[in-house]
Amino acid sequence: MEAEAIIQRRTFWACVIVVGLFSLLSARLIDLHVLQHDEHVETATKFHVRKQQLPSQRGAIVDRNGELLAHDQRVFRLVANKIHLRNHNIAARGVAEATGMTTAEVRRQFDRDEILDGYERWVALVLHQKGGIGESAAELKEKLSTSERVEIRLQRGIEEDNRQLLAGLMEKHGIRGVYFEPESRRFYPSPNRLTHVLGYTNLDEVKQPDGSVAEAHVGKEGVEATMNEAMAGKDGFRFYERDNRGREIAAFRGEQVAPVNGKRVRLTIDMGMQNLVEKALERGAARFKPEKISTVWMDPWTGEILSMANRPHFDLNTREGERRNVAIADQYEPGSTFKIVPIGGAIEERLINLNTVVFCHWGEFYESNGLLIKDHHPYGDLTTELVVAKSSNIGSYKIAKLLGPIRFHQYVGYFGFGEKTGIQLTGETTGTVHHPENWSGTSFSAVSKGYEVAVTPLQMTTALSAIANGGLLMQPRVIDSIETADGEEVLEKTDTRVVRRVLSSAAADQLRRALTAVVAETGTAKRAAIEGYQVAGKTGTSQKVDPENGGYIPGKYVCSFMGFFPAENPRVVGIVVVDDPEKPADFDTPLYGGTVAAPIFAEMAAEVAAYLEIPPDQETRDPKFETRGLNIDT
Amino acid sequence: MKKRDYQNQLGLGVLAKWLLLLAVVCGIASAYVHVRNLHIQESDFVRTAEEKMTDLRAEIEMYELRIAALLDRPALEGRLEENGSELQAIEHASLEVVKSSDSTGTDVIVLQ
Repeated sequence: MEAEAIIQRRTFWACVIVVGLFSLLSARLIDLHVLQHDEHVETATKFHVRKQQLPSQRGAIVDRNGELLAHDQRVFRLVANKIHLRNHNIAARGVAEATGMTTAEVRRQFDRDEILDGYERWVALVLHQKGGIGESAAELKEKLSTSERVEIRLQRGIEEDNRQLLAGLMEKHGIRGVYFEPESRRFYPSPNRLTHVLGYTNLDEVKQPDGSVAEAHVGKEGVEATMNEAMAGKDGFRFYERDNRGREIAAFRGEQVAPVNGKRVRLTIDMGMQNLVEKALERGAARFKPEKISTVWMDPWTGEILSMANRPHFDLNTREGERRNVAIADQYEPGSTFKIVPIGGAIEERLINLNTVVFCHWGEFYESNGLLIKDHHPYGDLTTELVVAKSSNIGSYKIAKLLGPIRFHQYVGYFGFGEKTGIQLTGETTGTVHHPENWSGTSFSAVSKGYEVAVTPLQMTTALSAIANGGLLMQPRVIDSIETADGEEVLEKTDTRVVRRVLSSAAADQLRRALTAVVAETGTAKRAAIEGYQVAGKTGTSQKVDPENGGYIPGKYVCSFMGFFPAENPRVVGIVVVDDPEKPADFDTPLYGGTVAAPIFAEMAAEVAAYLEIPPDQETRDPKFETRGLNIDT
Repeated sequence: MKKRDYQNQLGLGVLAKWLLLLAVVCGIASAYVHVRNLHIQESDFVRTAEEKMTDLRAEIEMYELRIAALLDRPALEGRLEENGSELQAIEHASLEVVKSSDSTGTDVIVLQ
């Protein structure tokens, strides 16, 4: 019995101890899992759960035929993590790889600082000599050693194939602590075409829908800026868990929001035509070495801009060069091209018609206040058509006087001068138009011949389009549509918009006929003529304003020509504005719109006519065109 | 030798049941571990495949952009010039497209 009692007592105490221990364990478990639950979850989450930004792609820009003009490209930046680089184990393994020793031997032979220094040298040597990173291995080593940042950016813009090569290289040579981080680059396949229209982006910090901040391309100029909202994508994110080696455990993926790529923007520009126009513009720039030269080509019936270019311009990928879109941002005194306003207004008001005869005072007309208005050549009686064809200042002024200053000023406004056209591009200026109340004694005659008024090349093109299409001022537009990112579906189509009727169809028709006389053998722009087509247009030559001292700079001119064809049923309207051309050695005529800008226009027009397959509207004397219109069986 | 004065209460049947239960529990545990490992292996495979797809997409896109850059008209002309090509630029004005009278026929480009 005694022994049994002892056993029972011992069993009891053993149970008490076991129960006590388990109770303590249970209490600890309750403490960890219940009382400290949130704290530990947070700690574990910090170690294992990561939020990964899923970058979106900015929308592409394509021309009217779908040719790619701008696209986001995934590239990488090479980043060295200072903490990892200075990890003794990583460094020792790297030095072992470099020296051919074992890690243990490295540890025995070198002290800690020597190993770290040796590893940085090895990383710099491999990355520079075999990967082409940095200017020299020494410079790279210096960067790795002296940078106080944890993450040291070694190179940006590494393309996918180079990343794979570098990754293989780093793996082969035991480089650890250097990583690739994805980033995006705006890529322009044709960096020297359509530069001012496309514009450019900057890499800015942008707030994301979830409140985080991420780097993204933000449009700063051109279509990139005006269509920024449509083209900007929305980054996504996802939470994921990592294992103890830092690799993602795909099985434990958490919340995920997919990135939304930006929309694709389709332009009205035709890149085939744009290329032809820009080549002709470059030839013109090379011949006349102007300060600036611009051209705009437009469909007069829809307001669609088919081409727009300036020289100088800039490289879309390097951004070096002139970024100002002269065609819409610079104003100039248009000279005689502006005569379409008083003459168009007077025809519309039925004050004159094409046969109305205007006496032009043999080149010198004295106003009652003693003001002298001169023509370049002495003319007596000229019909309205010849006033236009000969570009008579006196004739234009006398016609403007029939309208009177107020009505004339109204027509200036009707044609769209003094206001922005509203094209979807940045930096457009209104031009300068003064109200008659603010005119001086010379202003009326000056404005009637295109002085004391400033316009943009785009405004002039739009105004001429109104004559070409039968009197409607169209809103010029460069955006055709906004599409889904893959271009499969059109989300928003930019509609053709008539701003106002400027002239009746009959008045526009008369003016159109007068403008064809300008390009005839006796007109001021016979060099704008092209084989097979009747071209209508107007020349303009104005002295350059001295922006510092006022007045005009002797010997400096802005020469322009604007025209459309085929004259009876115009398909395209174009303008060429040459600012301050130099006279080439073989040039035996004065620098006028008809001698400088008109031939450049003709060169462009001939190419455009063939490219757009515009049917000729005239009999041609050149036998090479005789087969035009022939149908053959195949 | 003193003979035990009590008999083992654990019968063979009960023992067998416990052993069976143990085997089932062990089996379930092993199966769980096996499935879990498979799951992680599959997840690893999925992750690798996803990374590969992303890389391939990026690579395809890179080549598409390079092709687009190679097709840049001024660049093409520049390369032809650099390589001393004897090809002459044909002005658009010298070309004529002769439309086929048959809607199924092909248009013919004629160099004048």
